[in-house]
Parts: sequence; structure tokens; C-alpha cells
Amino acid sequence: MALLEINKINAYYIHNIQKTRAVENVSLSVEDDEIIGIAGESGCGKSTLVKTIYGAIEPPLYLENGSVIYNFKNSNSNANITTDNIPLFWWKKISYIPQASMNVLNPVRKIKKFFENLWRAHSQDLSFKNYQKLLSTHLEHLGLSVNILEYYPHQLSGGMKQRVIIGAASLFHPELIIADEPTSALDVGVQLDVLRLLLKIQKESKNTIIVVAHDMSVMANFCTKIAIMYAGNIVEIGKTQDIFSHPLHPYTKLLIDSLPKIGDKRGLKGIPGSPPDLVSPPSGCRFHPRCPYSFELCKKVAPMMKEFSPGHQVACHLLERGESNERK
Amino acid sequence: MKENKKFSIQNVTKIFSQRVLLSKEEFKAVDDVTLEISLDPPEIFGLVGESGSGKSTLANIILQIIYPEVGKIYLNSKNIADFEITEFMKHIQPIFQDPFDSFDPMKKTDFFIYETIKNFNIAKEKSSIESLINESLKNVGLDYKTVKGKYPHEFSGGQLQRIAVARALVVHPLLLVADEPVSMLDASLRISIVNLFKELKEKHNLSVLYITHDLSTAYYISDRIGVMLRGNLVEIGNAKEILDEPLHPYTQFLKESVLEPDPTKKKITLEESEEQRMTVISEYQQKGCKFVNRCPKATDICKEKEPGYYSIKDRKVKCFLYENFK
Repeated sequence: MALLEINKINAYYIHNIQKTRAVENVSLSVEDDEIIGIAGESGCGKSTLVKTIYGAIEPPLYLENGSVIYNFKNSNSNANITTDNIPLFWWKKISYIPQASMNVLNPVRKIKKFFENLWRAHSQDLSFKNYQKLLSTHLEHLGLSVNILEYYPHQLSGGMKQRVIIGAASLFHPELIIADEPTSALDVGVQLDVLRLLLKIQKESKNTIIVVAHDMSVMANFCTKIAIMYAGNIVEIGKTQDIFSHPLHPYTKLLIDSLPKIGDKRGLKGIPGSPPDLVSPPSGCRFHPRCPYSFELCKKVAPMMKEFSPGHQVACHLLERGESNERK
Repeated sequence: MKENKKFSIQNVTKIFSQRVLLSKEEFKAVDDVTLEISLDPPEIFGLVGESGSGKSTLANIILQIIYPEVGKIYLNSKNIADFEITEFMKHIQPIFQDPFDSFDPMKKTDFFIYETIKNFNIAKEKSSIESLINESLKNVGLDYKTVKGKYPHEFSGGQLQRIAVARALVVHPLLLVADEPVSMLDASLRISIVNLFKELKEKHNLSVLYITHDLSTAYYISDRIGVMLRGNLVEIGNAKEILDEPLHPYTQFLKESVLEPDPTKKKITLEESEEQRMTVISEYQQKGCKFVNRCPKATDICKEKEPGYYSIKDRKVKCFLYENFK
């Protein structure tokens, strides 16, 4: 059974009568022990999707329909865990590293206090002594000195703050860690260190990490599986290797072709046009106004996700047409 | 003898001071930087470095937003401090990082171009102003009809950045100072803006100072590159040569840390890296070479003395490793 099953969720932001269709018709299953990346442009609904998964659904965000099913191992209660009662499992089973997470630390509280509050709120069954023991061994294990507990956030660099947050997110060994743009505010050298730390945590506790990033090079280096989002829909899911060597959706193809590389000075082309407004997304396939291969059907009918090779799913009429042609 | 047209920065130093209790700490955000940007023929000069390396401070000095303590800057062998400010801004125009911040959200977008034309007294009649706006928007690949009368929030980041470039173009500048112009944009739009700079250079003889932390786009568009480290320019030369085969250990470190969009070249391994990097301020205070605490090839002399520039072919490297090449 997959760790996480997302079934056709629609998550909208509703302001007065305006409805922003941030996530529409998204299905995804997340297995145990994998790093899955969600890539896409800003405003394509990546953050909304992970917020929904984390259960942080507060107005103006509404989950219109669809469901998220969590199958955590050795959870004490047999009751179904849904997005409604998931807050009870925050930090213990599922933890979230928010965007710009280095700014979540309270500037007038020591790091020690931050961890203490975490323990008070989420893990009262642990005695204070055991908590302290856990904290110091955990920090040491991650290569953070215990001295940082006595520091205030402004005394730490951006990379150190990010590491503290990652340390907090993995303190109670959750089965699922969601990291929303964990490295986008960091320098290249520090970015590498932070990703290395996340990888170390994942490899040791064999949990699952969902990474949201717009940077395709982070995806290529860090994830085992990638889901590409465009304008609120997932358009392609596959293994990292497959996505980069055989991208099937035109958007993925153009996106990968537009990435500059060191050692390659050939002329590159961007994707023409700009992402649509999600208040009134285009009909049919949402990529059709920018797609160089679009045809009549794309304007009318939204394509469904289909599996083209094991583990590689794509939503595009072009491929369905290509496949049926081959069959004939 | 007629000299080449160029923009030259000579031994510029900017000192920022910080008060700590009763004492005063000084650090050099830009330290003795000398570089030249050719204006005719035009070139794209990439200035790269980590955050806190003084790239933006240098841009602000060039734009005369702040003034350096030491050093002079010449535009076609005339000191920029001697220019009238409007005269100066006619030659050098900025592009900023966040396009949503550089436009007033309460004003119509085309009004900014209109305002610039008025401020610089380029045209007076309404019809000629409109045709100028039309022309500059066409240069950046936009249509006046789609821009006219709209507010900034109605555009995407990429379109707004294009309009910002169009605004800079109406005065026909010689040099664009673009400070992280694409870092706020999405990957699919980023390359089109970068291509726009390339096109402007070829068609309109416009030089660009492209400031970025992203080595791959810098490699893609720049003719020459300067690598900054804590206020020092440590390596300068042809972009392709520098990034294909970096000489300074810092440039090597930067290139090593760049993740490539290619799953066959994974750089994240579980090997332990040296922990505990020096904080920014202490690296600024470092005597000798600023990179010495992170440099794998550091020797005793690096801690004591600041290296000079050593030339290797067309390249200049600020590192003792290349002392014997002199």
C-alpha cells in the first residue's frame, strides 16, 4: 500500500465570488522510501498541493472534492487518517519545511526555546529528560553543534537556520517530510550542504521526502521521481532518469531544453507566452495556448493521465494520438 | 590616437562601517576593484559571486546611488562624477531584480516609459512620445496595444521585466546594469529575457553588465566574466575559458557546487563536507586572501599577504598559486 494516496483533489482559493483553481484533478501516489519532486513554475499550484497534503487547509483555501489517504506504518489508532485529523500527527508522522523556513524562527527566542515549544506541543508522552537526550543526539548526528541551542536566530547564517529547521522537522522521525523550496534562498555551496543533509536523513530513516522546487537541477540531483505541474494540473510523472532523457509532455520537453548548462553555449529558446491566470484557465489542455504542437482536440478536451511506460505517466492528447496511430 | 569607447572602473573601494558597542568595525564591501567594460564593440560582462560578495554594491556605485571612498570611474575617459545626473543616466540605465517592486502598482505600466521620456526631455509632443513607446516595446518583443492602460499586476514577471528593459531603452543608453534580472523569474521565462540581452547587444550595440549568482546563465550569455569574493574581484577573463577551466580555487569551488540539470551527473553524495563555514563578516575581516579558510590549496603566505593579480593569457587571477606564471 502506498504511503500516501491522493485521489483527484481539487483545491481552490475562494475570495468572494472569485475562484482560483490552484489545484485541479490531481492524483498522485507516493510510495515508501522515495524522494519525489514536484516541479513547476511559480503560480502553478505546487505549494497549494503540498499544503493540502499536509492538511493545512485554511480559508481562503478549500478542498472542494477528492481525498488524501495516509497509510502510516505502526500508527496507534486504526482510525482513518484524513486531511481533517492529520494535524494530530504533525511533526510525528508528517512534517513540513515551509518556504522561506529560515524566517519562521522567532527572533527574540533562543533556538532552545523553539525546540522546547515543539516538544510541548507535539510530543508530551516523552519526558523532558528523554526529550533532551533525543535532541542532543539528533543534533550531533546531523553535524550541528549543541551550542546553537543557546543562540538567537540572527546569530546564525541562512544555511545554519535552514539546517536547524530540517533538524526540527526530522526530530521525531516522521515518515513523510514535505520540503517546500528548501534551498531557493541559499547560495550554491550552502545549497549543496543542505541537500546533502536531507539526503542523509532520508537514507538513514528510510522515510519519504516530497520536495517542491522550481529549479530543475535540484530535481535532477536529488529526486528519485518527479511530477511536473503546469497551471494546477500534473502533466507528467516519472522516474528522474526517464523525465530527463525521454520527456514526453511538450511542456516538460521545452522546459528541459531551455535550461542553460556550463560547457554549452548553444542558443536556447524559452517557452513562448506566459503561464495562464488560474481564475479562468484555458479550456481543454491548459498548456494548449503555448504548445507548439497543439491541435483542435487540445482546445476542447482536457487530456487524462495515462501510463506510457512503467511508472511514466503523461497527460497529453498528442501521445494518445501517436499511440493509436501505431496500433493501426 | 582615438581610444576604444569603454566604461572603466579604477581601484574602487567602498567601506561600510558597523558600530558594535563603543567600537566601530569597518569592512570593505568592494575592495580595490578594477575592471573595464567595452562599449564599442559592445559586450556582455557577467559579474558572478555568492551573496554578500559585493556585486550589488558595485552596481550601486556604478549607478551613482552610493559613492565609493576610493577610486574613480570613467565613461569614455570622462569621470562619471563630473556628469550631470540626467546626462549620466542617459548613458547608463538600471534593470532591477524584482520587476514587481520596480513598478508602482497604482500607476499604469506604460506611464513609466512615458515618464522617462518626459524626464529626459526626449520628446514633447504626444504623438512622438507614443511612437517612441511603441518602438521601444517592439524592441523587447511586446506590442503597445497589449501594454497600454494596464496595471503591473496584470502582467507576468517576464513581461514586466521586458517592460522594464523597454523603459531603459527609450534613452538609448550605452550600458545596461542588470542586477539579478532573471532570478525572480521562472525557468521557462528566464531564458527568453537572457536571450533578449543577447539580441540587444547584437542589434542595438548595447553593452550589459549582467550581475548574477547563477553561473549557468552567466556562462550562456557573457563574453567576459568577473568572479567576486568578499569585495575582491578574484578572476576575470573570457567567460568560456574561465568556466570551462577555472583557475582560482574559489571559482573552482563555485563551479563544483553548481547543480546540473542532468541526473547522470549527480553531485549530492553522502560524504561529509567540511562543516562550519566562516561567517560573512569574519571573511571580510580576513587578512591576506579572503578565501584562505575555505581554500583546499591554502599555504601560509595566503594568510599573511594579499595576493596580487597574475596574468595568464587574457585572464587575470588573484591567487598566489599562479605567481610563477608571471
